[in-house]
Amino acid sequence: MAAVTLLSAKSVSRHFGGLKAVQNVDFTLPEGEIRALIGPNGAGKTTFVSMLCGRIPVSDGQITFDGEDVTAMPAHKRIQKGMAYTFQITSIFGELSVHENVALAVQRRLGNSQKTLDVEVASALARVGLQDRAGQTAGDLAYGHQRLVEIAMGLGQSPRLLILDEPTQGLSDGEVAEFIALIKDVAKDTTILLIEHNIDVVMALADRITVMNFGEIIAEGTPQEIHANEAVQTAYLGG
Amino acid sequence: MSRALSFHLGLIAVLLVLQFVLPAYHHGNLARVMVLAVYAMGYNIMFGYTGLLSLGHAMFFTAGMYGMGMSVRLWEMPVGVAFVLGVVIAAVFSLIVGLLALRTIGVAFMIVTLMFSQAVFLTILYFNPVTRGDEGFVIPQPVRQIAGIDLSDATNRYFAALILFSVCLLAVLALVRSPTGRVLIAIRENEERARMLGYDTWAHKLGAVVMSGTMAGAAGAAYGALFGSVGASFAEVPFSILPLLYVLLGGPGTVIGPFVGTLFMFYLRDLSSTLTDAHMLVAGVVLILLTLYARRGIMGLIRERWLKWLP
Repeated sequence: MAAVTLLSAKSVSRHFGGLKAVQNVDFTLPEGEIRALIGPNGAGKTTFVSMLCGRIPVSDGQITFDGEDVTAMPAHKRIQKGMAYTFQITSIFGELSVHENVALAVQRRLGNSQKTLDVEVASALARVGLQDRAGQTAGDLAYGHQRLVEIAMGLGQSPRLLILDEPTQGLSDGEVAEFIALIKDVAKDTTILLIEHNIDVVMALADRITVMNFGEIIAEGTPQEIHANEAVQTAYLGG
Repeated sequence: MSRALSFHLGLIAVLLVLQFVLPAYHHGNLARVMVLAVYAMGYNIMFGYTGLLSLGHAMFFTAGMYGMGMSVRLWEMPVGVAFVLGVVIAAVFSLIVGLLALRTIGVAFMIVTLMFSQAVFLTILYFNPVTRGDEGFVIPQPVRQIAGIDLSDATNRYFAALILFSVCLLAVLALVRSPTGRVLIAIRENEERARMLGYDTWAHKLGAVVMSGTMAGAAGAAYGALFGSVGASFAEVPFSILPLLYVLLGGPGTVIGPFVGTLFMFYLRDLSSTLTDAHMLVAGVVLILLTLYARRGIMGLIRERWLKWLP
């Protein structure tokens, strides 16, 4: 497959007062790839993807999505262009039913057809295995199931780029295995950027891995290359 | 027909029947309650569904009331035309207030709406020669008619109030069950998440302010047309707090809650004032009890326990 660049960041930085959370990051994500973004806690991963999808503005640099400069574009417009972001800290509509949560993700691209809406919601829920819980109040679900609602909301948007921020946090081993199968399936027609701490998930899914530490990218390559990389070993183990 | 629609049509049917059976005193009360409930329903769109707490809704009520009243007083417009003009003025006014006030959020938004409303109140007082200030003015009985129908007649007045109430009730029902309504609820629950699902939350909030303000304005215009009085006391702070109380009591985020809350509060005040001069004390105690034991208001509690499908 000819690698068309879907998303790129050019010397992107973010400072919070004197703290340089992300500095001078260059990043390119080709269409169709599953990219994992890893790094120790506090490395700036969430800050970086938050700038990609527009949750927080960049201090400096440029972000391009699908050939268009989106640096100054508000988040909801970037989402409308085909990005989807699932939150690290579960951020669902706790008072609403599981169905309503996913319907909110689906309805924006469907217009007013209640019938198609119900079909699409059911299909997104079935993909994460929550089809039997559509009527339950989302906030009453077990934590792992809330994570799955979050992922179903990502899928429901049928995005071109799905950004998953630590999606397997709090999932059981069985659920993690199902998650890996699900993402492999989704990746057939969606580009995926995955922040993940579970190294087994990263190794099972990622085409390429980007490693961040102290707000900078310290390595990038195939899982095998990263596995053998000395700088990565140092970052994780100290040295 | 869905359960929700039947339920609300049922309420309208009951109110229609009550027209013929209620004694005169309660008949008059109910007409007033329906108009005030329209005010509260408008408030509920912003507060109950979108999560925007306004402390200045009296300004929208007054915009409609004075828009209607001044058109009659100054230009001798027929009341029907003046009513429509009042609603349009309230709509435009709420758009302007929304554009300015929505630059703030949370507590600042509450303060800004309160201040705007005070500015409206003081403006009415300032232009005393035109507005008659806090004394207000009366829409004389002979002109209070639409197409030859005398609105000061108790039966006609009840019907007019019922029509306005029904239109607004069904409009709110349609709104909250539509995709747009779902987005408003999403903003109330978690605005950041709604934004990250691709919704322009600011534009939705502005839409909610305009719908809410317009409905409050319609109530104000109707109040003036049906009961004949237009005055600055309707622009004062307590009149901004009333719809908040009605909605809190009846159940924020329920279509029928504002009506239930208005009815409850109206009769609570009415009944307790026959027992004691300290009727506000009774109201206060009931409010505290409801806050302790039914935080989601009367209809919120009923929905939680029994009628889960209630919109």
